[in-house]
Amino acid sequence: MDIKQIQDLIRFVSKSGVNEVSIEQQDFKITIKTNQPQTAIVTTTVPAATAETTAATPTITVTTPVVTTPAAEDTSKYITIKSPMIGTFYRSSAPEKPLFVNVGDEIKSGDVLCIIEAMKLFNEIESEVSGRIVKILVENASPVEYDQPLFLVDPA
Amino acid sequence: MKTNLHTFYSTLQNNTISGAFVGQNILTYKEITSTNDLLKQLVANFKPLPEGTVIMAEHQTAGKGQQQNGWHSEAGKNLTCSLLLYPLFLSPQNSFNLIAAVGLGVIKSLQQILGNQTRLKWPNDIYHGQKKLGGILIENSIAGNAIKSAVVGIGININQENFPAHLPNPVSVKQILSENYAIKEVLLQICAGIEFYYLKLKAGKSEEIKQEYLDNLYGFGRKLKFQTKDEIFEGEICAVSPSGLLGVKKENETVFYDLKQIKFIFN
Repeated sequence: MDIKQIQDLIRFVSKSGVNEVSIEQQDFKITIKTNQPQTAIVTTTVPAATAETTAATPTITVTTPVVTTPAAEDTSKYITIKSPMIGTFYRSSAPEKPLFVNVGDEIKSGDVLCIIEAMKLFNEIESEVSGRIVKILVENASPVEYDQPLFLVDPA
Repeated sequence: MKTNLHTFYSTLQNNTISGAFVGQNILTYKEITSTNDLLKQLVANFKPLPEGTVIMAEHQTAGKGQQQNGWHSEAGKNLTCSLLLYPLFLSPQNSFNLIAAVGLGVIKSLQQILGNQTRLKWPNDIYHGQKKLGGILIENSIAGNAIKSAVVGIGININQENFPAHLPNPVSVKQILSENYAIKEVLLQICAGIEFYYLKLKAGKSEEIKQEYLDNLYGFGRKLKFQTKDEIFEGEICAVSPSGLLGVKKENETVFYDLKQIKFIFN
């Protein structure tokens, strides 16, 4: 399957209204998910003999409802902010309160990014870097593990 | 607010800090929305605010952990306070140790007034028998892998006698002792208790704290009724995991539950 076919497929799936499509061929597997936030994840499975060299796991961001170029995003310059503990991830201090941060927001060191709640203990997570929020990797109110990536920040 | 903060700051500077630190600076307010919120604001505005600083409200209008129950404590009748700690020595992953240490400090102090029926109900409620006497709510501020500050909010029913009917099982110190009790007295005892266990935690004795936490836990080692989404069953609290999950032994199997997964059933 070439890039063009993948693009077509993503476009087709995002228009179809289904949440997830998986196609598996001999040495190739693709899963396209369109649930919130709409993202498409492309994974390739290589035959066992060359499994060591598997590195191609491009993540494709699909902007609603039109598809952007499905090229692997260069995330190397971004800083990943990870969860310091197990708990539940919240983007605001209470359901009716405003979100701490949104994608595109400029943040500075010391700003509160989220709350991780564990056993009724509320932990405000502060940023240690300044920059711009590129991506929020976890849904509000979902469980997170220790060290799980939460935010991608483009450092200032 | 601004004048409040300035008055507060000058009060702080006039205070001398001796050996004990928790409760050496107690600021009392007639009426504020939330002692935790005010203390967090002070931490952000006046660095460094001394560790152990306490804020006490005679009337807290929007206390955390009460609001979802639609209940406001009667003015001047209960202990509503927050105290400040800097547990920089503790990794965020081990923050359940802080819950245990603070909970023990509170419960051991209350036991001196109310006897051994006063227990911690997992994870950090304060119970007397099967009735709820109060609660603890901690808010940490975390940067990287350090807990920069912890604001410990404590609410205890002291002299209130009438509670809204929809509250399942409230009780106050006055209802237990059949007499009024000085709120400040309870606060000072609790400050001493928290300091004792906090210093123990700081000294690395977290295993001792865990064992004592279990020993003072409501229902530890006894058969109790629990409810999960699937069933009501009888089990025995036998452990608490490092992250604070409750271990319940059912027949011969121990299962660990998160807060949302299990409920205590009271008679």
